[in-house]
Amino acid sequence: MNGIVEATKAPKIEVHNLDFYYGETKALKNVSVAFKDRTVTALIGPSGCGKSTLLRALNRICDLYPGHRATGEILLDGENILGITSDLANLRARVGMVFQKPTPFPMSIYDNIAFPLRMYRRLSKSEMDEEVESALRRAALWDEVKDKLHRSGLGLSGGQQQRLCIARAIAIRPEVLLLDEPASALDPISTAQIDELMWELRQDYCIVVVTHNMQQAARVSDYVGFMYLGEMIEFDETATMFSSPREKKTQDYITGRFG
Amino acid sequence: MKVDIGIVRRRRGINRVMLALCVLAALGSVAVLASIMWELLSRGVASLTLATFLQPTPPPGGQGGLANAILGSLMMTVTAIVVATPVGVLTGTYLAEYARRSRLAPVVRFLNDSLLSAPSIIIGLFAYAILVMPMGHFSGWAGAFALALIAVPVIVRTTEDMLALVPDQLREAAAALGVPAWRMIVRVTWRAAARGIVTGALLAVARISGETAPLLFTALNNQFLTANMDGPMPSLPVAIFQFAMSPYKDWQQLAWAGALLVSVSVLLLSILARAMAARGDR
Repeated sequence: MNGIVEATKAPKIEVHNLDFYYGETKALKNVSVAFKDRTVTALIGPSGCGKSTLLRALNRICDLYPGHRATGEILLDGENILGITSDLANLRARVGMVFQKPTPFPMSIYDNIAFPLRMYRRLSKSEMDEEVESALRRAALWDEVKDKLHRSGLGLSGGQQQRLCIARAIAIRPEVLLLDEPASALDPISTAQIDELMWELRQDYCIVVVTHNMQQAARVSDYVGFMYLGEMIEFDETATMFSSPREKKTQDYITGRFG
Repeated sequence: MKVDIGIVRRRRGINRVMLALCVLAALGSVAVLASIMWELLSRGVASLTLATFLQPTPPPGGQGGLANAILGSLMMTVTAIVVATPVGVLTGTYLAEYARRSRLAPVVRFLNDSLLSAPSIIIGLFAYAILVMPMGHFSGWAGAFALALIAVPVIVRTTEDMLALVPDQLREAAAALGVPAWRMIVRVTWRAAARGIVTGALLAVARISGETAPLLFTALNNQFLTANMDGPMPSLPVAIFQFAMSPYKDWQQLAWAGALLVSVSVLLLSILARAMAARGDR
């Protein structure tokens, strides 16, 4: 599925010399990496290697917790987001995120999408209806929920809930979509649906996905970054990473010799 | 592996003894509760008539009911809970949502827990000192104030506990969409914890509707039907206290009726609270 990676695609996010601390513990060590626009980048590595931490630094969701601290640079379209002191909401509108466990809000399917959208745009009822439908369509969920839009989002299956969360994230039209093991709690069919969806969304977004699933990384990504003990060990095109990685560690991890 | 049959027998024996002790203890406590309910029902139902709800408390030997006490209890309890619920819910929300990295939170939590276990007579004395003394007379307002003071810590505690059960992922998901904290709380976490919070308020109602000591110092009592919260106000617990201690047969009968009324309403509230909590677990 990994077609031609156009060299012309510009970097959307550039990370320079990023260190990340959970209190005293250093979780990321001097990480530098660039994520290109309209590509899928997969971050792989054993548990605790810092891939989720890196992801969570990209929209500064880590700011919710005391003692979490990042130093270095994360440039989103050239602007250092670590320097933002106010209005993180604006950053998060541009950098959306989907979590490992589906997190539908305790409200109707419709409101799950309309509620965050109302933060940013003033829409009439009919415009809102259109936005909700379009988001659900793009998340490949519309046909399954169009007759029960006003029922609770909690009543959906796990896979549907996760696609609802994706719909919710893309409804506010972010530029970057961060996915933290989006399919690890799902069955194989739902996983395949999410994979397909990522491939579709790739046409419009810069997507970064953390995954433990090598097949998923190979299927959906253009680039792969392998992380180990807080460092970015190797970063390359997916085909290269899976066929002829430079580092022995990468080779060992991909072939399942450790991790 | 060869099993030593002696060890197994011993273990089974201990198991049986423990089980018997647990069952015995459970039966004992249920039996006490059941006998209280039985006593209340058998004596209370007999003296419960339409007049109990329609007529005010009588002089000894006269005809009457508990209408004034019922109305007084209702007015003070409702006033107390209307004041205590927002204060309690907002404090609990502060503790669970905003104050996670604050050094004030443990202090507030400790004070709240102290208030939660403070004897209600002390709350009554406090309300007496700061409201009844300056005003110069007993009043329904002072009674409601004392009841609110008892209800607040209950509501704070349950609100904080219920919000703590809401997974952090939900908060992260809201933050990741750029939702500001206060909207996240109002639209997401309060909603996720709604049943638990309402249950807490209902339990607080149940708790204060049986309080006597704080009302003795604040609302005192009143033989007449009154809706004036600025003057002394009757209440069911105080009426029970007064009538049960009296030597008059008909007053004692009314005390039983009042006791039954209070117990049944508290029981119904608890059942309602439990039913709501159970539906919330779904």
